[in-house]
Amino acid sequence: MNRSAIGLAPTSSWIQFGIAVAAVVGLYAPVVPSMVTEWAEQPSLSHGFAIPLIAAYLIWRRRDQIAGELFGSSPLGLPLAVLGLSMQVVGTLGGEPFLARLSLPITLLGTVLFLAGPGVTRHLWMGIAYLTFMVPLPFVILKPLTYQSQLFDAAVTAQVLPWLGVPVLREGIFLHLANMTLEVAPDCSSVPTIAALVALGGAYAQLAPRPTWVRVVLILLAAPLGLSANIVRIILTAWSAHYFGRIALDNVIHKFNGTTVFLVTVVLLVVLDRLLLRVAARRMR
Amino acid sequence: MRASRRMAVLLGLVAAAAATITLAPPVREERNGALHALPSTIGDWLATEGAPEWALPIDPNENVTVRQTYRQGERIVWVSVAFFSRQDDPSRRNSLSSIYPEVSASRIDRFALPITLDGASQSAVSVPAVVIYRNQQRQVVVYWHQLGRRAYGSEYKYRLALMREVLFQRRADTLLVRVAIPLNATQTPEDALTIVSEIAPPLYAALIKTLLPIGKDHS
Repeated sequence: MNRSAIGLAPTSSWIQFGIAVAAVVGLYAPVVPSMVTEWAEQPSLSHGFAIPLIAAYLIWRRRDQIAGELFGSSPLGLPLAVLGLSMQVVGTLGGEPFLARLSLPITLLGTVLFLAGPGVTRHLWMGIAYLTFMVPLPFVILKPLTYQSQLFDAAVTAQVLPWLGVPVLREGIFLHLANMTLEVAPDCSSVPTIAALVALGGAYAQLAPRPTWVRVVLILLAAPLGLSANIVRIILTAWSAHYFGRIALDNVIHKFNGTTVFLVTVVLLVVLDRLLLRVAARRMR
Repeated sequence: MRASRRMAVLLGLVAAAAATITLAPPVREERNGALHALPSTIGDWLATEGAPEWALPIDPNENVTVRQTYRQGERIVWVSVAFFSRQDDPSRRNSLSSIYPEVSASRIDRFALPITLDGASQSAVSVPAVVIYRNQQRQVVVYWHQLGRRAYGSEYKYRLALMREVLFQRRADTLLVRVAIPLNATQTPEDALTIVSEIAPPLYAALIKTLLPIGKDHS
């Protein structure tokens, strides 16, 4: 019995759909190498390598539901695809790679909606939208945010250290301790990893069945949790530097600060998830 | 619409996008030979060649640069005008980290300075000014980007204008004009901004004069 006879999309529809998606991906091929170079060169963007894999996994998890959907079409699909393709043309010809890169998920979403319809899109949109996290933010936006974060991190650290018995004098982003001066450098700021942390929260929230509000809270709190973890790391580094000297700066925890913050945030997310699920379970009773 | 027709429409759109990108005329690369001419005097300010790199960092992507030191009595102003070509290529762009000295700066305060570069009060441009605190020293840097005659203080407006220039004119040459003033213990940032307001309009006028003969009036 063929697929259309039992109400499923025929194989030929899937082949056509695959060709269209391949054409879109092919159009974006020139955009990818420079993005991959940025992922490789900047440690704070290295999560970019994981994003396409996680997106593929999010789609793969839904393969049974997708296979059970009928093909259709939505009138929204075409304008969305046109918008995405226009952004790609303007971004590529106008020298704005951020615009061109950002247009990939939009074009893909428009293509799916236009060629496969809302039923299939319902299962694919999360994986496609997740690709947005692989696009590095423009430096023109990132730079002032990073500097404000450096100032904020230094100010909070300078407030907390005296409570821990560490005298400190703050001068902008410098923390003058009795035995050395520490700089809250751009790499110490957690702003560059915010995208990674939100992406992490987004993926984590999708991994198991949860009430929607729990998912939203997990995604929204990923960034503040990461920021808090980073400030705690800076405080501990300054505290250790006061009591143990330079060794506090040369250890693994400080050198791999991005990884440390990432791991601590994962632990905090898991703890928060357990708490929220308990609350959700109580509300269900 | 039937599935095959939808497929044809989408493939047609993808092909049109690819053709537009591939067949667009290349961006022109122009050398700004007139940039060497900056005024040797601005009012009572006398110029000598050069400006210290620690005060105004050199960007490796600069094609041509003029750096001068203007003096009036004990007061000093450093000026750098850098020409950047092919700014449509992100790897050749001026770096945001090389506009003013950031290394070892304990604090950097930013604010906007409204300035009338061409002397007409209606055309005031709000340019960024930063006060850099480093090793007990303070320094003010004011800067703007220029596309032909047009000066941009906002990085976002500049990038939008550059994109428009690249898209419609296929030109991507820009200038970065920086004015730096060291502050002594008694000077305030406001004193430095007064000096910038005095020096910037004639500097801009001199730049426009040097740009115009080679047909760079983009406005």
